[in-house]
Amino acid sequence: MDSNNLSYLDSLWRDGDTEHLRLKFRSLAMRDRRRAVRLINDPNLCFPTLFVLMPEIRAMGISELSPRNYEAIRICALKAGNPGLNSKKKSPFEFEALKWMFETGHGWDGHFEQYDAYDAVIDTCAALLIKKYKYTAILPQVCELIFRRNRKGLYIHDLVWSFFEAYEPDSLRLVAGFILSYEKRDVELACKLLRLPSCEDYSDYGARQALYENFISWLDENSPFMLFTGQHFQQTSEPEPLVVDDEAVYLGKRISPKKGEPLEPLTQNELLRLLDYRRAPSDKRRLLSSFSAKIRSQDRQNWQEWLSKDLAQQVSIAMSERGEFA
Amino acid sequence: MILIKNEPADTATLMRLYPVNTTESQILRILLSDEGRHNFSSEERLDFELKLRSEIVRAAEALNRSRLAFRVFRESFCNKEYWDRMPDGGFALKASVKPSEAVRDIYKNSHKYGTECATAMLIVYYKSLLEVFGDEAFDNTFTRIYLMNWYRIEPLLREVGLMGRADVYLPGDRRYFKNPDVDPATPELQGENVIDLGGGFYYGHGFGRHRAEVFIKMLNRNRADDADEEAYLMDTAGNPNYGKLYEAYRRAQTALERTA
Repeated sequence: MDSNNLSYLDSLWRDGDTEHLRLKFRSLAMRDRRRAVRLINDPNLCFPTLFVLMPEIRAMGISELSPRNYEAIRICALKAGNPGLNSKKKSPFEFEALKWMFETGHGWDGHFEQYDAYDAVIDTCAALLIKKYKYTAILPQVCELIFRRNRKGLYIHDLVWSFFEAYEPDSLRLVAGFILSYEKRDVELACKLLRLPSCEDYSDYGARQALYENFISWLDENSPFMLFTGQHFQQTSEPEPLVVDDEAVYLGKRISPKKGEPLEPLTQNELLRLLDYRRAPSDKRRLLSSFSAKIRSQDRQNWQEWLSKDLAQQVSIAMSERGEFA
Repeated sequence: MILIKNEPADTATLMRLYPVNTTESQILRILLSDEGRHNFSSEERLDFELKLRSEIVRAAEALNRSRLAFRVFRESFCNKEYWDRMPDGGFALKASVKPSEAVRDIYKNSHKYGTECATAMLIVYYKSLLEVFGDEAFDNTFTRIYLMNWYRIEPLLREVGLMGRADVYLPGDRRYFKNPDVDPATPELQGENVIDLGGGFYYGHGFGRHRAEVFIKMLNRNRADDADEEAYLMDTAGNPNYGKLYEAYRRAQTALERTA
């Protein structure tokens, strides 16, 4: 919460506990309903305050809510399994409400009887913003929230799922940052999510730094060729959320991280190269992909010349560069 | 084809060991008619896998008949006499109770439990192991049970969390129906973990016992508005490491014999 712009109700809560806020709001609404409505509809209000006051709003029959608040309460009811009428109806205010709920609500770690219900709502906001509205600006906060909850042993799997459903290879940098954390649980989770070997000696910061740097340079090299698999903890204990598409590496063609299709159509020549590549045995395919990536980064013209040759010649050059004979 | 110590097994003798219409004989028939080579270190090891797979199917059928509720992890609940509900929604075995009694209680007092489909799979595995090992050996072997999903599994059951391509699908396999375009408001329906019951039927907690088409239809009902991909049964299977469990079983039996 930004203390400079704190709404009156948020400041009431800051000064006291949840019960204090509820009592104050109830007595205010009984004395001066119009003021209570104005305060709850304050544009600067933070979502946790609205969430805490929802039972009071319902009990006092306050229906003069701003579209943002109306939507937020509808989304909470939907998650709580009390959707009511028109729960699936599209609302023009849904996106703004979700954005407000998540942005003003993700940082709150309240401790009260509805903690699980609150977290479930925040997870839903993240999922809808990322999946439905493709709003990926929240990924840094989602990542931070995953690790914060994990430190407390709380449920993280829906958030992890939403995070990877953004299909943004670059977002892995956010996860990788936690390899350098001083919290052991952060390091373990980062390694698990990135499918990296766990650091045997957590206290060896140098080893973790090397792991981080190797991962980042691997990501720099491969992110245009990455494909999200959709694997998740609900399905497997060792999900591999991302794989590198060897065919894309070989051709040097960027692919869609969701579907794996090339972002630009293949030329006739690339198509022929790809058909030959697919017919090659797996060890040769691996050799061709890694060699292609290597010379592409060193000398683009040389790489183009190599790629225009037939497959047997490509293999022969790749093997001789490795000191082997075809 | 079934091999015992790399030698073709005596098919007729094997078939006589297991009455027709049992899960064991159904599995045997599939393995015998498959062109792939299914090698077992001994007849006892084969028998162990057939029994355990059969118990997995039985435990899944029993769970389907039980009153175990479907609840997302945040709303999961359990019988506090035997289990501690953890902050992530999983159930940890209480230190003061016998593992065998705690696992049986899930079936006996099923109305006191509610959880997601992945936890139900783990319950099925522990119940089937309990039936094969027997109470005492089970209590000595599985001392720290944590029921949640594939994120935290004890080493002896680690492999059930992994899915891989299979040459042949057998009753007792864990399979997964994936719903790639799930409604983001219901991530719990992003897929369904199921046990292959044989005969084209699957058990998935919350969905029940159905053929594949029914699971696909139910998952398709929970897709996003702009969905363009249908739910489907993945061509992978998950299984415990039967060899490792067989060794644990033998060790447990030997230890019991020594103390008898």
